[in-house]
Amino acid sequence: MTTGRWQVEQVLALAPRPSSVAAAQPLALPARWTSTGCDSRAVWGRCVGTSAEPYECAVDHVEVAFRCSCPSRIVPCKHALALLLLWSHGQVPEASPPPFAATWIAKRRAIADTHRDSEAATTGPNVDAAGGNDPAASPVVASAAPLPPLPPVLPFPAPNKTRDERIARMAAGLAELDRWLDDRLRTGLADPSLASYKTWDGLAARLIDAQVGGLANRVRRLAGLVGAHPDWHSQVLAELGVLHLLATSGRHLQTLPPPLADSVAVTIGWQVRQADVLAGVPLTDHWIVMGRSDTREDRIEVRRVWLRGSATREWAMVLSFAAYQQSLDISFDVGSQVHADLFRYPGAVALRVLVGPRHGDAQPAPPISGSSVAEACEEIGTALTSEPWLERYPLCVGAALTRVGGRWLLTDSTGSLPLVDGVIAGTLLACSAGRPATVMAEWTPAGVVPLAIHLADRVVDIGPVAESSFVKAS
Amino acid sequence: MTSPVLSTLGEYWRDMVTVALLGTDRRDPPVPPRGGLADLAADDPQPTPSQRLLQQVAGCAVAQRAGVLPGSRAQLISPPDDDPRPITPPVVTATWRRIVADWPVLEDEWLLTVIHSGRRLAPELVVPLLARHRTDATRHARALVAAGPLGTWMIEWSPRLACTAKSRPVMEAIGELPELAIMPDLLPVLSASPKQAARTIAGGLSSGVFGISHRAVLINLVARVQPASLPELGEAIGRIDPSQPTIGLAFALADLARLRDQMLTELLAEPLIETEPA
Repeated sequence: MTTGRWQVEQVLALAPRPSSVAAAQPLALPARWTSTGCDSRAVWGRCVGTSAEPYECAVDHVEVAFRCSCPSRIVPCKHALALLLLWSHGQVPEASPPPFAATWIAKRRAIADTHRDSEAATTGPNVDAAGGNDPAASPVVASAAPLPPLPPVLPFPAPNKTRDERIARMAAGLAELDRWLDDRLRTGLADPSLASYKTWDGLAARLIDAQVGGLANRVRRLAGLVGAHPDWHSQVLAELGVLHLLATSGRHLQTLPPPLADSVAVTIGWQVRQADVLAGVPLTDHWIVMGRSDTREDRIEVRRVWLRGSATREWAMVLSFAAYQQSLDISFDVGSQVHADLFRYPGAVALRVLVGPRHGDAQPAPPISGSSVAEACEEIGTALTSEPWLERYPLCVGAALTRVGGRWLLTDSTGSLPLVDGVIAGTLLACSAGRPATVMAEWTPAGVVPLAIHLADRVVDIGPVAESSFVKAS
Repeated sequence: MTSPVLSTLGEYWRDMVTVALLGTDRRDPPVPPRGGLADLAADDPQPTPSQRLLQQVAGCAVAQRAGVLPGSRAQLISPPDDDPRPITPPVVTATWRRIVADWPVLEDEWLLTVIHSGRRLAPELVVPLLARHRTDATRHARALVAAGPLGTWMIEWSPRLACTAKSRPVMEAIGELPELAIMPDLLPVLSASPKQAARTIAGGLSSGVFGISHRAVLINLVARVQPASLPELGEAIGRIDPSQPTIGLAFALADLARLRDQMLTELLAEPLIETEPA
């Protein structure tokens, strides 16, 4: 049954949101499936998931309908997408359907025959619970038109009015942002209106109305750069360029590769539900708490905790937020090690994670060593190639703090990285005493911000701390 | 008006900043140098000068960021002179933070005990201590003694850590614990046996001899009683009937006694650990 097998693009077009593809991809491996098979009408299989029983999944690839015993309310769920991906890669053999698939297909045939007989064909898609054990938990989307031949074009997902309206609003907001950027470059950055927060706040408010809150935050941060130092024009111009890049990419999400589309969507402000993230494949490791940094974003205090896998050496970032008199997450002590499952948000670089189950109490982290400055630059460059709009990236270097021309630098035999102007490097200097030390820092376009020094017998947290008058003492 | 082709990305960027500052209504964007940016302009031509500039700014910003390269290797600064004293262990740092936050009355004793124990300050404490006491000549001088050569070296690199007090420190005062105000009739408690000291303070709180108005003087008393009295004092105060009106004060004094005991135990009883910064 190779005729009629879908292309990968057709499968991806069915995904209700970018994160669905990200969640499905790790499952699209033959090892995750048993009893897979396909015929001229359907494709089916059992996916080994987190529950005791495997999920029974079947897809009608002719009339485009889905059935899965998983509890997800997203249609199609990640299992259905994964099964279709597997099929599109030619990794599903032809077979006779097992009982769960055969019964479902038979019911669908019966319904289609009834519709044909009564000539009561409808044009819009409907919800058919024929195959699911629980209609609410296993919804099945199908078009009730007479059986057509193989799908000539990409199968269309069920229309979702709310989502479509939101996409239209976002597209309009992005178009407006691009027009605004264009006007700024036409009239020039010397325009006095740029020095007023009102100008930027107005734009940020319109972006929030357009549900692209991620860009609104960037615009507000940008306002703080105007006039901040003699070289502000260059920094603001670069940020305007990045905003243009995001505004353009955001309007062409469907043409971007899935991980990149996810990154753009998340960056501009598309909300990813925690449940979707937690439905992904966990990363289990002994995570070393490398550093912490608190920053104020408008009226919210944001805490970033940087973790690094002992075995995988992968970086991960846990975010927590606190409004006035709320508490930030204090469950991660810098210098400790936590054995836990982490779930990554979708994206090309995908640093942000949610913390799943922890397998035991935190322990002191083993001594760690940093990379060279050149290796760190290489790592940063690779990440920025994937996501050029990244505002910060973690690094851990074995380098000494030194001062050249009034600026503090982290240096080793392979080169140097400047610290952000104005960062008070006192404790870093005292702890390293001019000698090389293992330093965890955040790269930003303006320089690096040291967050922690990992010494032989202790780890010193030197990251920016939230004002105690703003956040609640924990 | 067509600009000449610029040779490097840096030059090109500077020229774009100039045009962006003036606005494309007044000046045309520069022509990109040969390479990726020129290809981008050719592949996706933009209709207006401002759109051309925006496209090139985005491309150039991405190229510059993703192409991050290390700066040239810089000369290391000369380290401070060696200090043979072992540094205070991490637990002492945590206790100092608690002292500063909850019971600053103990800080002088803490610092003097660090000095007398033959240790030097952990490096992460040097900056906060020098900064905290820069307006007090005696305490600043005491912090410098505890910090050793690292303290003097840090002031060379960060002059804001230098002492700003106009008076000079009195050398004798640096090594002495400052006196605290204690009522004359309570002075015998300072030299009493642990049992006697505990009975006087806890009994006074239970019987109502001491009330909230005695808070300051009782804190001073607990901060100066003999260290050997502290465990018993903490226990005795902790046993006070919770229905007593002075229970809040008793709770605070018990906490102070326990923290002071912990502070002295950490600094005097722990074996010296020979550790140096990496």
